[in-house]
Parts: sequence; structure tokens; C-alpha cells
Amino acid sequence: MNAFVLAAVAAPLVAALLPLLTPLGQARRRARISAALAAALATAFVAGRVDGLSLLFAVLVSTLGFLATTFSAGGAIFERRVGDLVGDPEESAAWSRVSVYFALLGTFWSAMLVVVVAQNFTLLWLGISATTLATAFLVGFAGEAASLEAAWKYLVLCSIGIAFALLGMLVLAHLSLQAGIDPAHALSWTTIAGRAHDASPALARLAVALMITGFATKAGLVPMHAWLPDAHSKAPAPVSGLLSGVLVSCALYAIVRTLTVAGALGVDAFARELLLWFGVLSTLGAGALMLVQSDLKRLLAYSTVEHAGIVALALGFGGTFGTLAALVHVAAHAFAKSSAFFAAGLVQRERHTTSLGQLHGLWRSGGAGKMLLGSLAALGGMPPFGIFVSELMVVVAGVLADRWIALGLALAGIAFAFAALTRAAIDIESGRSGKAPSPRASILALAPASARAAGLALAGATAAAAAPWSALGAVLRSAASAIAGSNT
Amino acid sequence: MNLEVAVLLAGALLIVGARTLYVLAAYVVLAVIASALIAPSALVSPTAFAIFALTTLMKVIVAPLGIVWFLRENPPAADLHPSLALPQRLLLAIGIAVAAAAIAHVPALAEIPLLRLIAYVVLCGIGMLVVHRNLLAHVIGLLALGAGITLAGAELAPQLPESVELGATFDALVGTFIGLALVRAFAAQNPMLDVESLRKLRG
Repeated sequence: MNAFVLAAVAAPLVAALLPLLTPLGQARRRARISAALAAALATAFVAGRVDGLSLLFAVLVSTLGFLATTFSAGGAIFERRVGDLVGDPEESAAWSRVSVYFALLGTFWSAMLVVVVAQNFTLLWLGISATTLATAFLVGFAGEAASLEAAWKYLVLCSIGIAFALLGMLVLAHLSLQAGIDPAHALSWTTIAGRAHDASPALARLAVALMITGFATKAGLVPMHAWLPDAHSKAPAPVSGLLSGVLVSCALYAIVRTLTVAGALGVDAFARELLLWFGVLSTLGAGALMLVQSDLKRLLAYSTVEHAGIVALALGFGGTFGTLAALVHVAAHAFAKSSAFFAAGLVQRERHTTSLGQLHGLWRSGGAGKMLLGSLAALGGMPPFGIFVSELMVVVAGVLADRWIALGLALAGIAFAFAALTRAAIDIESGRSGKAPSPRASILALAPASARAAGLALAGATAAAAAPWSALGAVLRSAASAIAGSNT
Repeated sequence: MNLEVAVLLAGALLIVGARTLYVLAAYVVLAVIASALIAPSALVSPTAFAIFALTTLMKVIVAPLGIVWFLRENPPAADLHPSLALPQRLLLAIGIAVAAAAIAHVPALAEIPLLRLIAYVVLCGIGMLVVHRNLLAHVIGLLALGAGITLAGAELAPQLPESVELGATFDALVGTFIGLALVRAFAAQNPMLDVESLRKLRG
């Protein structure tokens, strides 16, 4: 790895540790936000040293990593008592400390950067594995039984998933070595894609199926999704935002890279068919399950499964347009989901609950409710948010690919999800709540930096609507045509 | 005793065993065999050998010692309390051996050497995770899965010992050490470490 790229990758971890040298309180909070901003800006070092796709994902990871750090550091009460963030401090685990939290958050951010700037599957896989290292503790940060159970399920299921991906990589390495590729480049996608292969179709399918299934486990695609609703709903809000918005995107990025080698091995149609049906199952299954959720964060977690399904579906439709739709959706969803979890975190700290049955009258109580409404509208695919544009593109990609049954089933799932989000939005925004705080005691007034972070994420979800027509669109189109290249 | 018999017995003990120490010993046998098989390819360069030596130390000595230390701290965890009765566990072990043999007979996969053993160890690792409801059994299951992957790497890509060792070890050790940290936090609330009781405590 190039020294500049290495510096960009290490920056978030260093930024998480450096503020420990400053005195506690306001100074340390400012130091955390400044260091995170510097780490995010250091991502510019990777420009020109990685391809457009890696650059796009690196910018996404760092932007949302910075917003999550700002949100966490901006909490007015957070520095004094960790229990205010995670629940009852009496039940906290050995690692439930503020300094450990930020160190884990920095490790998580750096590990995700490793995933997206890696140029071969070994490093990409190690990065994905390293994200587990940090996030298992972040998911179980509260230390109470429900969080520990979620962390355990996450650890075991994701470890099995990435073990399958590793097995697939070993079969892929076997095929590369058979094709005469130098062992040092046997798992580099550019080398594999640039070489003519005469691979055994059965082994090529085995390699690609194991890799896609393994990475799909980390992306939370149905039927490997069992860990996701628990983990994403039990983690602290900013961590949930990163898990849902960015870590899932990193796993989908790994799937995109797998598609590149599937094309070179001549099993692209098989890989896309597999993804298509993972996508249909996820969209339909998660959409239906969203209708019966009674907790706001759990509803948002199932929505992540649904949106990961939409990305898989778009990749399954294939072609340059389908791949472009998938990439735009990843970016739009990352911002929308982060903003939704941030807003849910603000609401949770204001009302001390995320139960949909107990949340009412948020519209009248202050900015957190309005921000949550915006985020739910963004996730539901309403204009002017980016998901509206990307979902429209996915539908067009389905029509172009002539996959009417898959598209119809997925649209039913999207309709279920829309109904669930709309019902939740109406329930929590309308009515009256006796516990509504005065505007001065509102969390937005107490934690302005957190509120700004949530607002910026929502602005990003809106701006993503312009992605296909902006300079970013050119990068996305170029990446999409490179991925879809050999088959369109 | 030849290699196949040793792997067969150790794998069966993973599924059938009810005492944590016996199951752990079975894992150590599998880890030693997997490391021995990949050792020749690790001799090609100093870097590969250094990684091999370090990861073997971690997998064969440090991780099992960690579990033994945990058992001394939490005596109730010495029994795995399997969720299936002994005859069912025996049937499952036989089923896994038959399934591994069937996989090895798939013509398209016939070119992979030692496929029967690789499939058997991987399936035993997954079997442990499925049949045992005890958190410590899950940790050992993840380690066994790592041993299966090392075996696969030794046969499929012996020219890439660093990638194989780093991958298999990282997966197993992430599972083990994070797993043990989580288990330790949970043991404070439930010394039996039963996943069912964990589920009942869900908020």
C-alpha cells in the first residue's frame, strides 16, 4: 500500500487517540471534532492513487465517519456519564468507557477505509474482518444482556459469513494460479480481470458463490440477515448510523469487486442471478417485516436490509445502467440512513425511548422530530431525496433487463417498506406527548454539534439526488461501465 | 494412526463431546494437523515463515490457553450442556462424514486434493455452532472453522501461505478473543453461558 494511502487509512485511528492528550471537557470535545475533520480531509491523499470506485467509497466512509464522530462528541452529557449514551451505567461492560468508545470508532473508520482502498481481496477481506473487531464491542457497548446478545449474534454469524468468503477466495486463488498468474497477484482483481481464463466453470461458480454469500452476510442480505436487526438497533445511535449507512456499503463494495472477477471467469450471469434473488428476497422479506416492527431503531435496521436488497437487485439487473443505479443508491442510502439513526438518537435522548407505541407528538416538540420526519421521507424514497432518484433508476434498469417478475416482487417489498415508514412517521409525529421538553431543554439546544451532524447527513441524502447529473455522476458512470464492461 | 483417522476422530469429538476440555483437545489436534500441512509452503520465505510461526503459536497454544484460563475462572462452563442428546449427536457426526464424502465425489470438484477432509472439518466447525447452545462451544466452533480454512488453503493455494495464514488466523482469533471478552461480560449475568438464557434476557 502506498505511503499516502496508508496515511489516509491510519488517520482516523490516530485522530481518535490524539485527543486523549488534551484535558477532559469542552477542550477534548473540540479536539475530537477537529481531529476527525483532519482525518476526513486526509482521505484526499488517496485521490489519483486508487480508481474512481475506491475513491467514491473512501469519500463516503470518511464523510460519514466524520459526521458520526461529531455526533458522538457533540453530546452535551456524553463526556460526563457514558450511561447517558448507552443506558443504565450500572450494567455497563468493562469496555463501556468514553475513551474506549472513540478508539473503537476510529478503528472501525480506519478498517472500512482499508476495505475500500485495498487493491486485492486479501487486504479487502482483512479490512472487513477488522471491522468486526471494533464493531462487536461497539454493538455490545451498553453491556446489558440485549446488547451482548446482539453483539454475540453479530460476531458468530458474520465470522461464519466471512469464513465462507475466505474459502471462496482460496478457490479463486487456485484458479488464478492455474491460469499462470503470479502468486503475489493471484487475488488482485485488476490482474484477474486482465487475464484470459480457461477456468473450470464449476470451480469458478463455487468461488463466486462462496464470496458473494460471504460478503452478503456482512451486507445483511436475506437469508443471512438474522444478526443485522439486533446489532443495528442495539448499538449507540452514531454507531448504528455507520453500521447501516457505511459498513453495509463496504460489504456491497466487496460484492461489486467480486462481480469484476466473475466477469473475467465467465460466470457473470450466474453471479448476477444469485444477486438478483438475494435482492428480491431481501426487499420483499424486510419490507414485510417492517410492517410489524414496534421499535423505531429496529424498523430502521430492517429498512437497511431492504435497501441492501435494492442494491443487490440493481447489480443483478446488470448492465451499465443497473450498476450505476446500484452505486447511486449506495450513496443516497448511506446519507439517509445515517441521518435517520442520528435523528433517532436525538429523539431517544430527548424522550428516553424508541418504542413506536410511546413516541407521539414529535412534530410539535422540536427539531429532532422534524429531522426524523425528513429522514423517514428520504428512506421511503420520496422526492426530493436521492433515494427517489436511485429507486427510479433501479426500476428502469429492471425494465431494460426485462426481469419483470423479479421487479414486481421487489416493488411489492418497496411498497411494504414505504407503508411501514409512512405509518411510523404519522404515528410518531402526530398527537400529543405529555413528556415533550421545552425548546430550551431540547436536545438540539443541548447538543448543537450532534444536531448539525444529523442535519448535514440529511442534506447529503438530499444532495445525492443530483448525483447522476453532477461531476460525481461522471465518476459513477465510469466505475459502472468498468464493472459492467465485459457483459454489456 | 493415519491423518484421515485422526481428523475423523477429532471432528467427531467436536460434535459428540460434552466436556469443554475434550472438545478443546479435539480442536487442538485439528489445528496441529492443519498447521503441519501448510508448514512446508511456509518455508519459502522468511516473511511467510514468521507469519506461520506466529499464527501457529496463537492458534495452537495462546487461544486454547485463553479458553483454559476462562474455564478456571468460570467452573460451570466446563460442561457444554449440548442441546442434542448423545444418539442425535452421534448421528449428526456420521451425517457430516457422509456429506463430506459425497462432496468429495462431485466430479467438478474432484481436482481439489484432500477435499473430503477439508469439507469434513469445515462442516464439523459449522455443526458445533449449530448444535451447541453454549457460547464457549461457539468460540471453539469458530476456531475449528479456521482450522478447516487453513486445511483448504494448504491444498488450494499453497503458494500463498501468508494470505492463507493471515486469513484463517484472523478469522479464528477475532472470533476467539472478542468472543471470550463478550462471554466474560455475559458470564457475570449467567455463568452457565447458555444462549437460550441470553435470548430470554433480550430487552
